[in-house]
Amino acid sequence: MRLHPEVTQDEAYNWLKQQVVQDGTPDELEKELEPVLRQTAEAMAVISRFVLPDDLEPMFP
Amino acid sequence: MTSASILDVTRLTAAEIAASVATGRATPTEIVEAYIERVQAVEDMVHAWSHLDIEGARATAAELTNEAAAGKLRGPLHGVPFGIKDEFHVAGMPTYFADPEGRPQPVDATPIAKLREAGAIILGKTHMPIDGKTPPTRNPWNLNYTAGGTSSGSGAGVAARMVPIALGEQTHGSNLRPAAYCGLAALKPTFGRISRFGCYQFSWSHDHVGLIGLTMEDIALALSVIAGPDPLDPTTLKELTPPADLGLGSVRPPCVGVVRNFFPERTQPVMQDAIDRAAAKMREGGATVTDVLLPEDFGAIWPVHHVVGGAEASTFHARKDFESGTGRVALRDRVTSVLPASYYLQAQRIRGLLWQKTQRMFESVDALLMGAAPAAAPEGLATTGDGSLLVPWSCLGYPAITLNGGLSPQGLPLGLQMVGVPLAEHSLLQTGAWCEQVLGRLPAPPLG
Repeated sequence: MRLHPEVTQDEAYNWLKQQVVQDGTPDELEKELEPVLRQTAEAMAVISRFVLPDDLEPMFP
Repeated sequence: MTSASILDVTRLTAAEIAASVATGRATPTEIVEAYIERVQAVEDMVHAWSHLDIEGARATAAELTNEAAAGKLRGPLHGVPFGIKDEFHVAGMPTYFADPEGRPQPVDATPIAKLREAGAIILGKTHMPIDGKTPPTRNPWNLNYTAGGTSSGSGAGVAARMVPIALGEQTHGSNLRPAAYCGLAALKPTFGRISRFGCYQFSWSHDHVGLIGLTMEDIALALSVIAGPDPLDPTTLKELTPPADLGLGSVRPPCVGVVRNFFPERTQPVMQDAIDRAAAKMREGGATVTDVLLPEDFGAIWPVHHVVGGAEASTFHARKDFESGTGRVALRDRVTSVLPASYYLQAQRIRGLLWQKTQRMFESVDALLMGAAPAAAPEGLATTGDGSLLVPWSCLGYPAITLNGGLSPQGLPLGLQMVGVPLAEHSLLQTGAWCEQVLGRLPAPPLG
């Protein structure tokens, strides 16, 4: 999944669901995964659209 | 020992216990017997412990008593009982969180080894919520309310005066939340201040060993013992360990910034009122209190924490989940295990930017004041409450403490949070001690 151009929450959700929910995933598990998929998709969208200076390095405490 | 004298002993702070033992006014055996009787009186109501080592504590206390009688003190915690959150390995005790079968662990985690060297008595392992399999820990202020989590037993154990001080840990909000809900002093230090060797890992760059106690003085005393570099944990800081002495006689009123945009949508009116009352009391006490604002984009901290923490947790759990053979993988791990590396790295870049921007706030203040939770502990035992307001400081690695915000209309503690600049635990604890004098401390809850 790309970082740029920014991804929407829906794009991120659909991509995540394709990776995680496969044929044979029980319906109940699919329902339980839904809020985590939504939360993670929202996080991906926020991160994707955040503008950063080019020289900023990752922080590894 | 009479009920009155048991309660007298169990109302002492850790520093007072250490001083009593050092001056011969009490023996470690007398101290530990008082706490054992207290445990026997209230544990069935509170469920703070996953493992108690009564005989081990008595044996240690006997050794320490003989040593003290011979004029030898192991260290500044000689004779002080401690509770240890279950996720830390303690030699000879089970770590149920890591091994549900409860096999005794062979080696002490580094913080526990340091506590023993300083003369502390390990009373047992405090309860963590584990898949709802064990009775949930109850809040000593009202047994129908949660004590918070996941350092549930550490918070409740100290509040119920079954130990004067306990180790906890925080990845999201798990050390300060139980302390806030139970009306106690607590510290989540700068990331890397205390070794995590021997502690079950959740997220390598978010896990912080923490302390829960009765006073800032106690927290500082314990921190001076367990902080410091550890070759077994390469993330530990090389900086000098903060001293125990807070110099309380010469602490000046602080400059406090009340963070007015710290997610008011997540802060209920009762907590906002507690913040405002505390700020007013600090101002009356001579502090300079101003309103400050977090950087505009600070709200990205939760997505950052979710992506970084989620990727780290799913990586750590991958082998364990496979080897368990159950096919059970935490729901979050299923999703975060597929996150692209580019998102993890970008989240770490955002984390660095927010770290820099937040540090600039301390150019005009000593500490930031905000709520530790949306409100007091929620009623019921099905959840451990909301730790979201503690997540930003777990993510950025800034030190944070809890302060007394009074009681809610339902009689539950309202915990405030004060944040300092990285590596400044000593001055943050000094500020916290000054605030304790101004705000007061809550009494022990009316339990047993």
